[in-house]
Amino acid sequence: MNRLDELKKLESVLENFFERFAEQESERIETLGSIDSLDEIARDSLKGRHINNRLSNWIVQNRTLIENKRLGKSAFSAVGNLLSEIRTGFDETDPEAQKLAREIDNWRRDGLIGGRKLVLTRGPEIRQPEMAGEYLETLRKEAELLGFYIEEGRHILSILDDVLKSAAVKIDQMYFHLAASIIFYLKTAGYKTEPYVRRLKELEQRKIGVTDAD
Amino acid sequence: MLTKEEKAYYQAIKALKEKNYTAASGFFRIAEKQFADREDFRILCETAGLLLAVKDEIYNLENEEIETGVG
Repeated sequence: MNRLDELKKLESVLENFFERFAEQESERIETLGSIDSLDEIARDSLKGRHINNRLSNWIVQNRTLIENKRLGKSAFSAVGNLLSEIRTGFDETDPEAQKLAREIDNWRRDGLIGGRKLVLTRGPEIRQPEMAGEYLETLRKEAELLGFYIEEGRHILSILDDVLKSAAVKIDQMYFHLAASIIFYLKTAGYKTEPYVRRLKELEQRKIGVTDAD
Repeated sequence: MLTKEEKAYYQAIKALKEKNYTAASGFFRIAEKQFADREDFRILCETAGLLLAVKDEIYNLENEEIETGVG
């Protein structure tokens, strides 16, 4: 057997190895695909895009996987974290979003998906580090959101406008914080910020009203 | 959100399934930062690299044969 034949034989062995890997791990590959598509939904949700239909389809397609407890340990956490991130971005006035939120809450209650990365309820003695951790998590999410906008080539005023729109409908307080932070930055850069400050104040007032009514 | 490395790992596995070994190897390199200490990852990553090297060598030898009129 010459060198070329030997190499072709080796090529065939290696390709067979990958084919068998793909066959044996088909369920894991399918799960990774599901997590990846849920991640895309979470990213779009963070950008303030409408994701209800896609999330609803995702839930239908993955119901068996989740309810039959076929998620591995890392997939269990990843799905739990992604659904938590999506859950905080829901429009609280949208009945369809409320239905999806209930579905996620039920899965979490039944232990079918993991909880959030950050533990939000701890004793008072560790409240300060926990708050610092929450703040860091907020900044990380804000940086991620800004990164998406910058990738799209958006102007900072257009970003602020979008963030304010999200603040109006989302549960997540991050949008208020991010809007205030951008407004402060623009002010120090010499921009006229009064209309944005007014919009933010109005939104805050409305939000407080909604919370009080709850 | 998944990290860049986690997304690359999935893309690599998907590329393997689709027999796109060049893409798989590229995605494995991106995922390496996070998964390099996992044995199963290392095996897949190194095997994909080896397969590409073998394919390159086969291509070179076949071209040599065409140029020299062997075979």
